[in-house]
Amino acid sequence: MPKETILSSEILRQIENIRETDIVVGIPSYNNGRTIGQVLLAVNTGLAKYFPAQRAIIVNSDGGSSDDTIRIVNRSNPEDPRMIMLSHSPDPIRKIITPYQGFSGKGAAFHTVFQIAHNLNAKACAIVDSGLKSITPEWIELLVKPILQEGYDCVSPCYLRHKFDGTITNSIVYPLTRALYGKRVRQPIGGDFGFSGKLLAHYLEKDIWHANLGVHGMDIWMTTTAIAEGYRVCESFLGPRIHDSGDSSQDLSYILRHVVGTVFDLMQTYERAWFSIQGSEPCPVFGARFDVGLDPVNVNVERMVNAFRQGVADLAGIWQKFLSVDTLDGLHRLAAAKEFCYQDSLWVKTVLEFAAAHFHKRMDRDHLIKSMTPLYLGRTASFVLEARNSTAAEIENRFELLCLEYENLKPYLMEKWRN
Amino acid sequence: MRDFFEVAVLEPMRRLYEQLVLFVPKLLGAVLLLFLGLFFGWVAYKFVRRGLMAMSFDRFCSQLGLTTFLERGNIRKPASELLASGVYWLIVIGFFMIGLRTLDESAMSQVFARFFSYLPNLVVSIFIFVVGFLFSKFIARSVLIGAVNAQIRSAKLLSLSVDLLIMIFTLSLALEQLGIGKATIVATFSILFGGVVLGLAIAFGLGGRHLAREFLERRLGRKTDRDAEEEERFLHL
Repeated sequence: MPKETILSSEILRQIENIRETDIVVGIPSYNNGRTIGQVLLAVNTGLAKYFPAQRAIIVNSDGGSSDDTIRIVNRSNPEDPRMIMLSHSPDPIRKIITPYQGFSGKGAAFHTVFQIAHNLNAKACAIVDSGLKSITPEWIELLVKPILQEGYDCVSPCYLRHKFDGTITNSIVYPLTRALYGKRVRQPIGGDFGFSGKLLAHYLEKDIWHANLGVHGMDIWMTTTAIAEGYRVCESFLGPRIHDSGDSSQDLSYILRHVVGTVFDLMQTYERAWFSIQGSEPCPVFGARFDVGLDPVNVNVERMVNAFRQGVADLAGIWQKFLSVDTLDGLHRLAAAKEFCYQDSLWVKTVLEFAAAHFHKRMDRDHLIKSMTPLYLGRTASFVLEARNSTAAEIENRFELLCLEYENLKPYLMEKWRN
Repeated sequence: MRDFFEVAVLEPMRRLYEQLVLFVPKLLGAVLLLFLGLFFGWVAYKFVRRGLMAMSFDRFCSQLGLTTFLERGNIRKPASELLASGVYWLIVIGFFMIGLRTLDESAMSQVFARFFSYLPNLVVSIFIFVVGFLFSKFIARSVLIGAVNAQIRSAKLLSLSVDLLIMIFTLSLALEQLGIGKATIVATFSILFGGVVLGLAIAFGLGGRHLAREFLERRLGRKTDRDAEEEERFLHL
């Protein structure tokens, strides 16, 4: 049982009135007035269309929006006239609107949603991002059905993305998580998830809720916990993910600090789990794959290469405290090279040596991960240069090779980890 | 003649003997105290050294850059040995001072009192120096990483300036605690600090007009031409 409740007396009263539900859909929000109406519409339609016989609750956990997010959520009607109802549920879909409880941030929003779902004995809980522009009612089906009908505990999303998008996922998080825990979860930091009631109860038992995982650390924490602790994980193909505001305006080192920092922290937590795993296996995927045209993506390669070169020139003194001589030499050679190509083996060794240094606390962990930013930009630039004329299928094959490099170099990581 | 011999020779010798009888035990006591100091110092040295080695103190100092700093000053001993030596000498000098006091209380009591009243100042100033040093290295590294990530060309210079400023401030605090050249240090620090700030302001004003304009425009929410050109619709996650 969860150790304590973070819910206000008002919410507890609402829960007492509702008593029980089958499905909870959580929508954390913060200044998403432009998109939350559309998200609510898609969720309502999805619940009505695909789960007419189940009782469902929509929980909006808001972080104190200053725009009209709250007004839109309050105004939205589950029986929206714009929706074409194929069938009507005997129980109307209800709403709970609550501010974050406890610490601010995505973790607090998730905590509130999970606590409400747990108190209502929900069998399944889906979380969707309130900034989505591409969400459809089918997303709710794909996130909830594998749990209710197939007995999975965690549904991770799988999106159709531009070949240059998601470079932290593609170059660090996905291949490293796959090599460590042996499961091929393509978007471990996707942002939209489905969970079983059992897994929610387990999450609530954890002492993570007062830690500051930032906006981006929560997703990888949930996915890794589910995989490493042996819960049944599957993927659902949701199609393109178009978000109202991208992450390009956010400080990259801040994103890295939270995402990569959480991956490294979890490596320490689940050390015993990943040490014994070799190779990897695919997860079952629900939903039909399809292709659509995606907006072009602008990437300033020159700026990234310059950032890498400056990083090598100015930060090598910091890196030499924990990077091997070979890796450091490789980085110097790459910085001086005319043809810029950050090889897979060098990149993977760099990441693994950073992970081991993080574990051994070779220096302040914040500094350690933030100093990785120019290297990540260098790798991204190299990938963009290499993949400029490649097709989506070729790119996916390219990622597969990178993943295999991570898997092959896992013994190298283990050796660094022990010493 | 007999009186003369008694007054001129025997009496001084008797007095010398009496003084010797009084002084020799004091001397022996002082020597004993010195040896005790050497012994306790040695025990403390071993204890501190082993304790610090068990806590990987040398690696910690190396990570903080203290070892490199010492090497620059041609001090090639590990930090744990230096600290243990410091404790050793403190104990030896302490015992030596007590020994001296037993030899001549009236003459040494003032020195003794001054030495022991000065000791806390020494410890505090060493503490200020160590904390300041660690703080300067930490902040300098933060500035370096932040500046490199923001692609500021002179990131190293910026970091070095911050390091230097904090170290000057730390040194002035530590020396002030020791009571060395109080007025001179305050004046030197004020001139140096003021000079550096003024220099930076002039340099930024003259050399970084465009940077300042871009900074202000970004602050005020207006996009610069360069921003518009370089805007990336690029998702890292």
